[in-house]
Amino acid sequence: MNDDELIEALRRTLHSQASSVRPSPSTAPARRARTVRATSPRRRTLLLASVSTAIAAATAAIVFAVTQSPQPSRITVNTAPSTGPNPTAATLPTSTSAPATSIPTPATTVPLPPVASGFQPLSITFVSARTGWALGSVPCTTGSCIGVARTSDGGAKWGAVGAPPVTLSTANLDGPAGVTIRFGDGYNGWIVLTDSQLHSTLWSSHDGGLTWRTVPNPDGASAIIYDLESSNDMAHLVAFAPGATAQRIYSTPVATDAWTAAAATIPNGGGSVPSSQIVLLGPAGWTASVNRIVTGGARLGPAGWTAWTPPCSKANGAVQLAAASETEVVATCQEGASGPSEPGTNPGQEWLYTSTDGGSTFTAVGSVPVQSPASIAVAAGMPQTIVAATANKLVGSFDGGKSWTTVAGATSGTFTFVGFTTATQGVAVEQTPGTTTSAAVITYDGGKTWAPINF
Amino acid sequence: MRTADVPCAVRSTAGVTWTEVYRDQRDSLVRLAYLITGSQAVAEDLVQDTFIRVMAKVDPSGEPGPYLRRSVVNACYSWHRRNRREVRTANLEDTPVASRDSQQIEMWDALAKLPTRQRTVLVLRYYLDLTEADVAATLGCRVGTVKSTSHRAMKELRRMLER
Repeated sequence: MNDDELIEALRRTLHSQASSVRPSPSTAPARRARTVRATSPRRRTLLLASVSTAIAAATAAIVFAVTQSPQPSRITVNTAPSTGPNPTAATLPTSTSAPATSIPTPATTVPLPPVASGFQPLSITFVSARTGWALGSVPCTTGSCIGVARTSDGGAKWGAVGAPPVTLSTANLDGPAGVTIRFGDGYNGWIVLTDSQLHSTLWSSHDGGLTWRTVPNPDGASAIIYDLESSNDMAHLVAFAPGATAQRIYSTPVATDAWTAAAATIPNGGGSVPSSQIVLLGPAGWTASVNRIVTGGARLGPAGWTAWTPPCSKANGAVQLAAASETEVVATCQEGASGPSEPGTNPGQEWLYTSTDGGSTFTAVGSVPVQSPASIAVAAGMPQTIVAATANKLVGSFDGGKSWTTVAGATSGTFTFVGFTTATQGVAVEQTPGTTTSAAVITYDGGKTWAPINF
Repeated sequence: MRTADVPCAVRSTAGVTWTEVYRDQRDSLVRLAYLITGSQAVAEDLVQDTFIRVMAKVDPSGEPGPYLRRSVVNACYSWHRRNRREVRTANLEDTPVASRDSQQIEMWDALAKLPTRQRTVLVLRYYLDLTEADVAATLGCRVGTVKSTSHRAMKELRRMLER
């Protein structure tokens, strides 16, 4: 990169980061000479939403952790009164008064408490190479409860943050019901918990995971949320309510929980195991619904979510999507599972397709040496690096799908998720069906090697 | 296309109020402070307190833009000096991620590792597009210092990105 290119890249990054900032609403301070500044609650509506009973434990844990031998990661804690409407909220300590001429007490960085012993990761999300969260099960008096861990150093060290006070059922740990955590940035994230009746509960945090509160399922209390993802300061979810005729997509700015429905809907299909996947990259996005076969999809663009025909619509099988950029999309199609396969393919094969025009058209590349991957991922900006998660292994291609190799084996379970955060860093999760046992691995070299994440 | 996010000079006409100045410049100053400190929460606090201090001293009709910018930058420095031991690079990690563009993510991570002064010079030069003379006036130093600081910062960025 020459000097001009470096400067241009620097300019793009600075402007992109600056444009992502949405200053919270504020009025001009009253002009005054020297007056004692009243206690100023932090205008942290972005960071301090309503709190759940978990905040009491989180606050105590943070205080407790200060006296521990630390190696956990750190989190910035803003001290201010909690103003959430949750009646069970505990109150955080208030900032003290300060003279008008001095800068107010800044945020204090404190170490996080260690992750609970026996933490089994179920879902992982990273918003940067450094900052990520893992949701898992932890042993508790009622069986297995939700625990949430956070890292600020790319997964080397983890500390415990708050978690919804929920006991996980067997259905949450296995099968179509599940639990997912996703963050949009360092502060705003969501947990989706689906019960054995396939009803999904939604939780949100606006303080980096310190506290969580329930948020009404925008598709109704009985609806299932198939997927929730976040990018470009927005979060999107796809849900289906019993009795509805189609799946609906809802979106919210990450700093709020103001979910609004998109006009576009997606057919749920006539099968018995519907699901939907959302893939986002920057301002672009795609969602595809599968119910034995691809039933429909939508694409996110400047005009919002609009109807889109996903790849594999004629493959009579499932589809998995991933994106390397706003224009480079990758898909694997389960060929001929419920009907004829696409021309040039054989039933039972998993076939790779790629797009360079944002999903408008796809080109067949070749077969993938796995069947029905649970998840696929492509390295950010590197469409030739593709990893598929299947039963007991991760397989990777580093030449755009021309050749594949096994890059990691499961310790005892089944890989359920793989995703890339950057061109070089990604994570994968494996679970042992019917048990609470799970594990996570991470790559720092673009998927070539994977190492266990130690919580 | 870059958005024009440079704090504008306030029109020097009679009747300009601080409310107008605040409305016009607050958000852009928050973004400037965010790029230096890495925390939107801290940036909002520092900008708010800067306005409180400046309002007590400066006539709004006298183009307070550069003075506000200088005050915000100084406030960011003061904050970093007080929090140097604890914050390190933590704040720049806990901030909104604008894009999954891998190059931007790596650039942002590299900026986080720069000393505050180097990062500030780069922000003033390549985000606000200030001249070296204007950067020097903002920081209260010589143009030669701006040149050398900028050179060292870019060299270090390149080293980290090419690692």
